[in-house]
Amino acid sequence: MTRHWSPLVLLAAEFTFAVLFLRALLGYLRRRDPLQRDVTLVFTPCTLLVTVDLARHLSGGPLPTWVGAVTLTVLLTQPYLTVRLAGRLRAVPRWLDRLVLIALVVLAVPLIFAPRPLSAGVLLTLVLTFLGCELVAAALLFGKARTRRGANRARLMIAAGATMAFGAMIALIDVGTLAHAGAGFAPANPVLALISGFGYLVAFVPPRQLRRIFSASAAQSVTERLLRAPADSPEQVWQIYAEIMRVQTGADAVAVLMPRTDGLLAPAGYAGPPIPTPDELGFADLTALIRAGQPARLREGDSSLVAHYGDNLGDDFVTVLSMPVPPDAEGAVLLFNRHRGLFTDDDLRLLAALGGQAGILAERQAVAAAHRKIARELSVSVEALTRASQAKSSFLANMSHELRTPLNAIIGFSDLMRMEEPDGDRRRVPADWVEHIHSSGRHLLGLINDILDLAKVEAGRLDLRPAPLRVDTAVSELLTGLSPLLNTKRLTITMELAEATALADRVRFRQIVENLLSNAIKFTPEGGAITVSVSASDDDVRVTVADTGVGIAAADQQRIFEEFQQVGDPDQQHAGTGLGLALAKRLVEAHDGEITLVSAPGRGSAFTVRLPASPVLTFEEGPDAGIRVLLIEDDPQSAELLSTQLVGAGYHVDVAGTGEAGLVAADARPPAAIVLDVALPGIDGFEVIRRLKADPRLADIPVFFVTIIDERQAGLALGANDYFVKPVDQAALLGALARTIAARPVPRVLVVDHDDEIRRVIEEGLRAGGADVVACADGQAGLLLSREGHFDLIVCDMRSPEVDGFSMLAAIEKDPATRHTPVLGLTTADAAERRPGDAAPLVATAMAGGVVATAMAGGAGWETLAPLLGGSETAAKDKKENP
Amino acid sequence: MTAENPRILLVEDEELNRTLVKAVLARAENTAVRTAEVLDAASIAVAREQLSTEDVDLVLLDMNLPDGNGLTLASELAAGEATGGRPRPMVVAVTASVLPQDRAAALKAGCDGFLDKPYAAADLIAIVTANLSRRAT
Repeated sequence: MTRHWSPLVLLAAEFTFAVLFLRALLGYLRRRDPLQRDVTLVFTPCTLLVTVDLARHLSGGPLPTWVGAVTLTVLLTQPYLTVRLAGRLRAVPRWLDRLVLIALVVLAVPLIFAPRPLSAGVLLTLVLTFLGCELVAAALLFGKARTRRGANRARLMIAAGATMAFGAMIALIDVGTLAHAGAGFAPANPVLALISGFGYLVAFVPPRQLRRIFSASAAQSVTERLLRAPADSPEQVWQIYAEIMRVQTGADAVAVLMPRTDGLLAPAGYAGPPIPTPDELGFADLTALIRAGQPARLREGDSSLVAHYGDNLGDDFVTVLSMPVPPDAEGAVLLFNRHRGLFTDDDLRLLAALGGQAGILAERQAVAAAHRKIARELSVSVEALTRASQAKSSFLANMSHELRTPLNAIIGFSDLMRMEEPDGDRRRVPADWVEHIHSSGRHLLGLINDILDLAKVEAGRLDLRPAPLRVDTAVSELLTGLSPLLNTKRLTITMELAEATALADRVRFRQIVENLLSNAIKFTPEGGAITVSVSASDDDVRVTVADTGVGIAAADQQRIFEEFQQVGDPDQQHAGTGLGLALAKRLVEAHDGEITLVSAPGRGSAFTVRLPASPVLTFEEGPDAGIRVLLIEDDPQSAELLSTQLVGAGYHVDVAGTGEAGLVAADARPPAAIVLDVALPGIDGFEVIRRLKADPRLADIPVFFVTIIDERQAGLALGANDYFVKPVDQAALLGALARTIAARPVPRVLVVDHDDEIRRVIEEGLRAGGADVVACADGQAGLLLSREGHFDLIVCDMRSPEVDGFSMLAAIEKDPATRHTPVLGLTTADAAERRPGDAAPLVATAMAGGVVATAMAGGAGWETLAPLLGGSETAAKDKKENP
Repeated sequence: MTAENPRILLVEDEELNRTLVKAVLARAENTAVRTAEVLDAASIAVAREQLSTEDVDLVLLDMNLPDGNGLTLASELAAGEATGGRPRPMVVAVTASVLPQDRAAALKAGCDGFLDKPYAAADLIAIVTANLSRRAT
């Protein structure tokens, strides 16, 4: 039965080979593509075999022996040609190529010259060698297939399989000859031939239908992956597309170029070995390459391509595909390969075309994702705002409640007082009631102050004046003040105070520690213990207040820092504003510090405040006389050089190594001038001058930049008096300094106070600040001096024994010579209680030409008087303009 | 008035306020109010205890109590609970929570009156007098 269909199968196989050959040949003739030529060559031996067989059938008799020999010899070249073809697709070691060639040449000699019929040994060697060569070729194709994906991989696998089948077929023919046409082999031949033929057909010249299926599956795979890849931005889409294309096509590198607004193509995505990508790059017209539609040597392509990709992919092939991007743009996809791709044109073009569309889809998706992200963020913001608004409402409700509670006692008890029977112009009321009203009033005031402070911190308007503060001293002062309260509850207090200087606002620091201490006292049962410790490291200072009180459960530890929150057993709730810890936390944070809590129920609580340590200042020792220059410079050598020059010119020099330290130093002792570097650790010189100019007390200090950074315009724009670029001309710098300092008016201040101690304190404070001070104890003498001295400020005691402040003020106001001079009247808060040597607290009232400003003067040094002097210059100017 | 000396339960955690209420009531013109016996409780729990054993004519109820909102007690009383079978006392909320929703919540919980803190002595006397007399009739 086999005899019936066997010739038909053979015929089909032969037909297939003929088609293959013709297609490949036509392809080569059309494009002159060397790859097509190699494919054509691979099919030539098979086609010859077919032709010979056909001729044998047509002639009806055996062909001459030489025909068979030539056919066989040509057939022998088939494995080698396949190896050559593989060599175009991938790296083939030269020795392997040569080995196959030599093996086949060595075999061809006996095949042509050996007497017929061939001996079994020769034939066997022939078959085995031939099979071995085919095996090598198939293995090469197979190896290449494994680096590819999808249809590409399938086609290469099939090609490898077809090569093996072809080898097996030739081997069987030979073995058949050897066995003198053994019946068992005959039918297998045409079947193998057909398999091999179809294999090659599918692999190399697939019918249109099959090709479409291949392309469609590849395209679908690309599109799907592109749409599935999570792109956050449209720019990312093309990068992802490049990566997918690289995997899909097995190319060494893939670049995606998109048109820029100027029409040139610019890289939008790249996947492959790293290349040094110049950021700004526009490719000229790639139409020629696109039209070629087949791989070209990179060097033969556009020169800008070589410039961009050439270094690393120098000898590579590049396939340039047009990528239409809807609606009307056209990008390009570049596939780089160290070796030729076997399947180039159609499906790649389809992939590129689809890429454009899918890319747009993905781009839209990315835009939508970005929108969704924004929407999510917005809804989060809205939620946060809603929460904040709710928190604000509940804060207001709480505040109303908290304020009403003490007010109730105040109004209630005072109401009761009114109900008592009058006894002349007095009423007899229980002393308790007065006490209740007073304590409720104090409570109310505390609440209002806390609320105001909280509001200030929240609004970022807390006026912090951080300065070096001896924390240990401040804490022990506080504890002394609280000792009556501690004694009432019979609390044991332990102090572990190491010497420490923090950068903190004195008033706020007291407030923080006071809150923690009163909290500890409140929540520690009678007879308990409180430990206060202060420790310091290079960067920070820690104050810990630990008690043996009720303790706080872990779950509540965050909540206690929120407003109006008291936690723990409700039966044991304590009176309090519920604002203390919230305020302490915010104040600490405003100092760039941190407050932490270690506690457990029944085991007490330990609150620790961490504040930044004060930067180390190097104030030059010596008397205050002389002109002080602050040098802010981090480089020790520069600092030393400048310092030496300045000291040589007669200035006293303070050196600060950072901008922050410089600001602290300027604040502590305002210098006559500041020499400032730009590049500083921490805040830079520009920020330093910005902060100096923002502080009314420091804004008038002349600033000179001395730096290697040439930003003169910026420096001057920020208010610097001059800008020197290193290396500095010493004479120029010193000259500028001298001129500026000489031009700066020294404020003249008259101090009139009968209390020697206070007068001395004020005088020293003002002198330290650079003022020219005239002081006298006697009011009458003061008045005389005021008329003649042309003072910028008069500081006078309101309760001088001879002339009291008010009549002195009246006299000053009346006199045209002094009418515009600001006057600072000093009284104690409670005038009756003022005792000699009692310098604080003083209430200072400044009066100038009918304008009255009030300031609380904690002491009466330069810090508190200087702001008032700022106004004196204006007043002095007024005086000159309107005599 | 029920009796010569009615009983008022003052539920209030601030001692100062308890002192104040007693002092104000002791100065009322109305004899019944002036001579009323004032029991006090600093928490809802203590108030429940008192109500279960004592006859009370009027409860002056703070809202913000350490063991919860005083209105829970008002609701229990409105539902006829917490008195151990004795007649329900009048209930007046006396509180520093004065937002409209607080007032609405008090009325919903069955309070008979509502007094804002801070209050004038006369207002406290007036609301106590009025509620004691309503109780009597």
